[in-house]
Parts: sequence; C-alpha cells; structure tokens
Amino acid sequence: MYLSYCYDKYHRKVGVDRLVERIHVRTVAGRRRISWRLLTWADGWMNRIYGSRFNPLYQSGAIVVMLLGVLLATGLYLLVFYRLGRPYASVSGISGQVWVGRWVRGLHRFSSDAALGAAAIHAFRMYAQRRDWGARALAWVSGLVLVFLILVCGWTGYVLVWDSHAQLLAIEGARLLDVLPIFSEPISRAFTGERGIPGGFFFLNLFAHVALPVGVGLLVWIHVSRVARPGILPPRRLSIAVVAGLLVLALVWPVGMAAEANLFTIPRDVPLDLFFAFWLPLARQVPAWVVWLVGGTITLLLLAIPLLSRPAPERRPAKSVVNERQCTGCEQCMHDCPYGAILMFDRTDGRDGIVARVDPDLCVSCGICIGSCAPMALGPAERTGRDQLAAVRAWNALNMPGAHDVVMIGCDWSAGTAAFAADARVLHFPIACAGNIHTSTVEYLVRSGAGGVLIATCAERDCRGREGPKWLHQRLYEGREAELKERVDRARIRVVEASAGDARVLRDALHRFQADVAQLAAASAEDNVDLLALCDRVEEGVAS
Amino acid sequence: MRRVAAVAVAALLLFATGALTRVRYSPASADAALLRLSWRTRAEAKQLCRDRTAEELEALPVHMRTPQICTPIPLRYELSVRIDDGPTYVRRLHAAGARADRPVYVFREQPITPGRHRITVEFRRPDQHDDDDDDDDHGRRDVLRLRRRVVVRPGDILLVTYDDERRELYIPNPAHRGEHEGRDDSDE
Repeated sequence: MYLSYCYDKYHRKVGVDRLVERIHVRTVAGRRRISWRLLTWADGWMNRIYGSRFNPLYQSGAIVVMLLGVLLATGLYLLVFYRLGRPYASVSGISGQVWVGRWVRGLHRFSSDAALGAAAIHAFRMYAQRRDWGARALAWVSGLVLVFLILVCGWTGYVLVWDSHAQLLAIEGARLLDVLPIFSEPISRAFTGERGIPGGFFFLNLFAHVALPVGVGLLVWIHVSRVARPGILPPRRLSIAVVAGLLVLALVWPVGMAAEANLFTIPRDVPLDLFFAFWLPLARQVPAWVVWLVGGTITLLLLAIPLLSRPAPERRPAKSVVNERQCTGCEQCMHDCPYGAILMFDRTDGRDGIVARVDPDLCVSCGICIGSCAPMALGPAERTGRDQLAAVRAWNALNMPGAHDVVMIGCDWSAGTAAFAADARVLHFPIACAGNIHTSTVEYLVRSGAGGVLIATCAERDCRGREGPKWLHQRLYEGREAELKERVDRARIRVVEASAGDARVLRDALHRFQADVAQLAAASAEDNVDLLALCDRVEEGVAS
Repeated sequence: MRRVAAVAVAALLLFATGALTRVRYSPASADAALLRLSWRTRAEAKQLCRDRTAEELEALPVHMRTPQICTPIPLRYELSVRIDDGPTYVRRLHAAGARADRPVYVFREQPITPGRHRITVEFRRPDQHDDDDDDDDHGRRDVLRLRRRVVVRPGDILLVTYDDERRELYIPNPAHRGEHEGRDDSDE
C-alpha cells in the first residue's frame, strides 16, 4: 500500500525533523528581516487597538481603492465650480462655500494624501512579507505605476489651484522636463512672466487631472487581475470611520488658500503638501539631471524588487502539481485557489470526467489547495496532504501528546511559530499556512489521543495565501468540501487568530484551551489510525 | 480604554495627515531676489554656398536645377550679464533643435541682492563688436543691450526679456524699470 511505503520511505531517508520541515516553506530568513519585524510590531499594536478585522494596516490596499472612490465623488463636485479662465478665484470661491465647498475640497485633498500614505504602507507590507515576486510581480509593478499615476494626478490637481504652491510645483516640474531632449522650446519659459500663462496650460492640466483617474481605474483592475475574489473594499465600518475621520479633519482644520501665484515674486512661506511634494525641497537643491538620475535609480530598484526578492532557484517553493490518478474532479481546489491558478480539463487518460490542472505561471505555492483536496491529490511537491499526514504521524510518534496535552499547529507567519517554535513546553507542529492544513491531520491528532488541537492562524486579511483562515474555518465548522468529519470531537479543536505580533493573545488562548481540555474526559487513543487508507479506497474507485 | 486608545491613535494619524499637508516652506531666504533673463529670438544662419557642377545639374530633374547648393550654418550667440561691478557672466548660446533650426532660447536666473543695482545685459554674436550695434540691412540691431539702474526688493524677480517687434531688451514689470544707464537700445 502507498501508505506504508510512504512512511517507511520517509522514516528511512529523512527522519522526523526533516519530514516536518518539508511540509512548510522555510520562512526564517524572511522573519529575520528588519522590515518584517517592524511590520509585525506595528500590526501587533494596531491589532490590540482596533482588532484584526479593523486593523487599517491590514486593509491598506483596500483603503486606497475606497479613497479613490471618494476622490472621484468629491472631484466631480469641484469640477462643477472650477473655472479655467480664473483658476485661483474659482478655487477660492469653492473654499468660500462654508456649507459644502470648503469641506468637499478638504476631503478631496486629505483623501488624496491618505490614499498615497495607504499605498506606501501597502507596498511596504508586500515587500516585508515577500509577496512581491513570481506570479505577484505583475501586482507589484502595476502597483508602482499606480502610485506614479496618483502622484502625477496630484501634481496636476495642485497646479490647477494656481497658488504659490502650484507655482513652485509648475516651475520645478518644468525645470525637470526641460532637461529631457524632447521639447524644442523650454517649458520653463511658460512661467517666466515674459508673457501670460498659455491658455492651454490649465486646460491640459484639467484634462490630465480628469483623464488620469481612468488610467488609475484600469491599473487597479490589472493590479488585482491575478487574484480570485479580490477584496477591494475595506469593511463598511472601517470605510465609514476613515471617511468620517478625514471629513472631521476637513471641517476642523480646513484646507486654506496660499497666496495667488505671482511670477514676479519668489514664493515664500508656502504650505507644502509633503505627501505629493516631498521631493520638491530636495530637488530644488540639485541640477535637474541629478533628480532624474536619483529618481530613475530609485524607480529601477523598486521595479527590480520582484527579481531581488526572488529566492534562489533551489530555495523557491515548489508549485502545486496534481496527481491525476487520484484526482476525483470535484472542482473544490479550483473554487478554493486564491489565485485562480487551477482549472478543470477533460481527462486524457481514457477515463471519463474532468481533472484539475495547475497553471504554474499563476501558482504562488501558497498551498491552499492542499487542504481543499479530500483525496489529497494535489499540492506543492513534498507538501501534499499525504506528506502532511506522514509528517504528523511521524511527529506524533516522536512527541506522543498525552490525553490532556494540547498540540498547537502554528501557521508559519502567525504567533504560533514566531513565539512558540523554540518553546519546549508547547507541543508545536509547524505548517506553512493554516489554509494548508488538511482536516485529516487534525483528525489524526485527535484520534491518536491528543487532548486538543489549537490552530494558530494569521489574521484573515493578512494571510499569505489570502484565504487560508477563511477556508480552514469553513472546513472545520461549516462542512466545506474536505471537511472535518463529524466523528471528530469539535470540543478538542480550537482556532485562534494571532498574527506574529500577537504572541500574548495566543499565549492566553493556549492557557484557556489547556484549562478547557483539562475539564474534558481524558482523550482516548485509537490504534492504527489510517486515514490514508480511506483516500486510497477513493483513489481505487476513481481509477476503476 | 481600548476605545480611548483607538480614538487617540486615529486623532494622531489625522493630525499628522493635516500637518504634513501644510509644512511651511520657503524656497529662498527672506532677503533673496532673482534676476531672470528670458526670451526667444530667431537665430540667424550663414549660408555656405557653392556652384553645382555641370554633372550635378545634369543628374537633376529640370525643375530642380538650381545653380547653387547652400547649407545654412547656424550662428552662435553670446549672452553676457553684469551686475554692478561684479564679474561678468558670459555664455555662448546656439539655436535649439536637432538641426539647430529652431529659435535661440535664453533662460537664466541668477540671485541678486535686494537694493539698488546697475545691470548690464548684452546679447550678440561673438564676432560682433561694440561698434556694430547699428541696424543691419534688414533693420535688425546686431547687438542687443540693456543698461539700467534698478531697485530690487526682497522676494522680487526682475525679468529682462526681449520685444521681438521693437527688437530690444526691456523690463516688462513697471515696478522694476528703473533709470537708464548710459547707452541703451531701449527707448524708454
């Protein structure tokens, strides 16, 4: 039988530690990174204050999209009152509308700033978590272009006001463009005072300011095109809170008007928006070509991050593969894959029905499909459900959890591994992602006599596999395909959401669960728990 | 307690957002001022001509048989600026464009201390001398010159530009026009 062959082979060749190590992706190097530790620290604090569901750091990407919607709505209002012929006077008029215009303009301004800040946080999160290479490279690059477009859109918006801030931005932008050998007449001459500002200047800016959001929308679509079920909006309560906060800011601390642009005076005491003009004070100190050189170098480095972050070929996690002989064609893996990397095809081996196949270009090796396949027919090489079961069986034989012991299955990125991997007092079975856990692994531990199984997951919005905690919960408690069988006592299973920065949460939950398990009757161990035999029977059925 | 912390952190983030959107910035010190030179003018070109040979003429279609081939050689210009008795800034300029067939664009900004100054700006071809500043055959002045006493206030940008119709350098901002200083091509 495959089962005995599998166990014998592993025991002989690799030993328990290696067996366990193989079923989770090595992430220690990732966790040592300063950026990851900083992010974990910040996440931990925000979780304590707002809870993981409303932690704005987890929702940074969705907040950007939501704020883009706010910008669109407020921008349409401002557009009605803006006059190309008298830009400063018309914006001044809008600011003078105490009841509506003033706060709409403030909300427009602060939303754009918050969107840029949230985009920076989102990019930092993806970088710190190494979610920026392979199939995710498209999202990384499109995200960078998106930020660039938002910056340009903001630049055009600020220039439209035509105050001293706009004057500075316009002159500096023209200086930077003039160094490019593409304009026969220097653009800077438009702002020397030698003649009036060309009539087309404000029209061009307004056109760009209105047209660029179309490009932004397109890029958002590209940005999420490689993920299934993208969560592009934050929870409603968080959205309301963010918009309400910005609105209060606009009311309490309204956006003022700087002095009108005057090309015969040097702007002074300009209220600079550092979100959009952070580069301006530095850029003014150096020649334009230096700005291009530095800006170009930084841009290239950012664009190259998918290549720089990519592990060496021998350390790259394997893509998922399907054992077509075992696949029953149930389609569950296709439904569960968070990246749309699995599709169903007609069988070509002479049998009827369909079979799952993985597109390696889209697969990010998240391993969510491991837990979604009841017959354990697919997953990254050496991380399939069968490998997981072999590993837990070997681990169990070595650690022999007692009738009142709690075994903690810790997702690699949660507090489970981060805080307890080295704690000898905790029976810790590591795994790459909670979504990778096959319910047979949980069943095996319970039926083998462990007092309880505590599964530590990341926050749902922060899962590396995007939907690991959600699918795990549904498989354990809601009967989602590859479900935990009825015969397993749910009182001996608990799932705790505890990100890497939430070690205290997990420790408290562990102690509570240990106390609860102590109240239960001593767990009884079944002999020869052989769950794979069930799978093999399915496999034989399919094959026949 | 957690709610208080949540509100406090939100307020802090909002305050930071508000504060970062209005950081006071002055690109120059309070007593800075600028002299800005900005204009464009059509560049002259010297025609380098030679007669076509009989063979060249024969090879051309009848309607293209012009007796001479001329290649325009764009002329260079020289800009010089002097403030009071300070050093003279001199820069050679040439017509813009890949084939140097676009106008000459002059754009220069240089700091100037507020107060009374005597400025001299000249724009001419390097091969011209001071006594060449009469009108040429086409009524153009070969040497453009502006000599002026001006009063510059802190924060001012003193613009010197060129009037293509009157063919002279001038100061468009009435507040800066000041007094003539010696011979000037301006008729103000």
